[in-house]
Amino acid sequence: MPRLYKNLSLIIVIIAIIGLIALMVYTETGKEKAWIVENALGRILTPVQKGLYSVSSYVYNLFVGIGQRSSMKDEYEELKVRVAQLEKELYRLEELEKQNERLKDLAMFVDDNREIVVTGANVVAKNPGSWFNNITIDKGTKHGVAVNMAVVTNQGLVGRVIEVADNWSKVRTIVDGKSAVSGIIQRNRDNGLLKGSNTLGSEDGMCEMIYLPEDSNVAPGDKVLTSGLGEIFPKGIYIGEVVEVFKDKRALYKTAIVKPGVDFQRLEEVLVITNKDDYVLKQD
Amino acid sequence: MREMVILGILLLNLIVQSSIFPFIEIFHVKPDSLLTLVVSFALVAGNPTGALVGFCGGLLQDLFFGNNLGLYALQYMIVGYLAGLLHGRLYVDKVFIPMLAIIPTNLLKQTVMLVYNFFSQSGMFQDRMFIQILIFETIYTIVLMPFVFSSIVKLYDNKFMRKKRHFPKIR
Repeated sequence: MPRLYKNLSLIIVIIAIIGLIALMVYTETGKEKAWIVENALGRILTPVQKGLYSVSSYVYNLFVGIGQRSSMKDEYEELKVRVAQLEKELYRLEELEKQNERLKDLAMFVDDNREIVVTGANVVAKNPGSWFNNITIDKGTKHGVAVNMAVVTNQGLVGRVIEVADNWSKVRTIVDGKSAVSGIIQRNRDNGLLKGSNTLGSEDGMCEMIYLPEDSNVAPGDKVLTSGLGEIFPKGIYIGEVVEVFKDKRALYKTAIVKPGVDFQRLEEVLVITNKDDYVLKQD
Repeated sequence: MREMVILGILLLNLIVQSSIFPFIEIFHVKPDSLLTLVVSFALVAGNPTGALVGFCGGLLQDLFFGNNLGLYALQYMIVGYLAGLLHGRLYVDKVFIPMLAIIPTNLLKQTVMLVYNFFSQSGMFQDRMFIQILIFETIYTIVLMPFVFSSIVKLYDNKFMRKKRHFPKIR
């Protein structure tokens, strides 16, 4: 009997193996429609599967939460770095846009006065202090720059070149105490001499226009241009606006305080221009 | 009662395998807890139970995760039957023999898988992958085995599990 029993169990197992292989082969070959038994089985099993699935996914999410928290930290660090990068990029783009604006203005000036423009240049250095008394630009003799050429922006006169090297030049700005520019009041054609009032210790970024005639009716708000006398600066470059007029009791002339049109604290791109006889600057 | 308990254990195993085990993966390998269950039942309760637990547990995996019906059932039924043959023929301690039994049974299981892959030409894994999976899965499953086996032994201390059952006898 035990022998038969043993054999019988083996026979049952072998039959089951054959049956399973047959089932495997049958369900393996890609059939497109579920057959009836499978269909019925599926109908019973689907709710069970659904329940199992929801339980599994609940437990799964329980564990995933723990795993994700650590991966989220890494992601956070990554994103932080990315944000920093993008912010940097944004600053760069904003910078470019601003530069573009400034250069567009300069380009308009160049278009109007193509004959006398020598070169454009970037300000690469200034003397310490909040005002630009002397500045260094990145163009020199190689680019055609020579001593006593005028330096301007679209906002007005910056100064004149006082020293030239191969590829850089030094410019004395009109607010420097040593600077003297012959100017003219646009409205009543009164001549005067513009001296920078920036000397060591008293830097206010203004110019003084001295030697104005005693009977001049110059008033705050008057525009001041270069007069062309002295032959350094072309005639008609905008310098600035009169903000105050006074007369010393014993002096024989009036003095006007002139605020330069150029923002000397934020000087970046400039134009170097040369003087030509009888050239009158065209400006908006 | 006994059948319900076993079925419940198999279903619980299915949930644990599909939800918790993905987190204890090592080298893309999970321990095969169904194998530990099947071998444990086979060693503790002998043959009809071993083969049946293998068949049912495998079929459940087939139904819920398999590409076809029968592959897992075939694997685990053969494993359960062969492990069940050992019942009563050698002394089974609580740790060493069960752990040792995992090695040939897992090899057998993976061989069935390899044969299936050969015939179905599904190209599921290459030979190198096969060896790697075999080794890591065996080690991992061996580690799990003592806990599962001792639990099953404790389960069989209960009276309702003791009822004898045989393949049908021809009188």
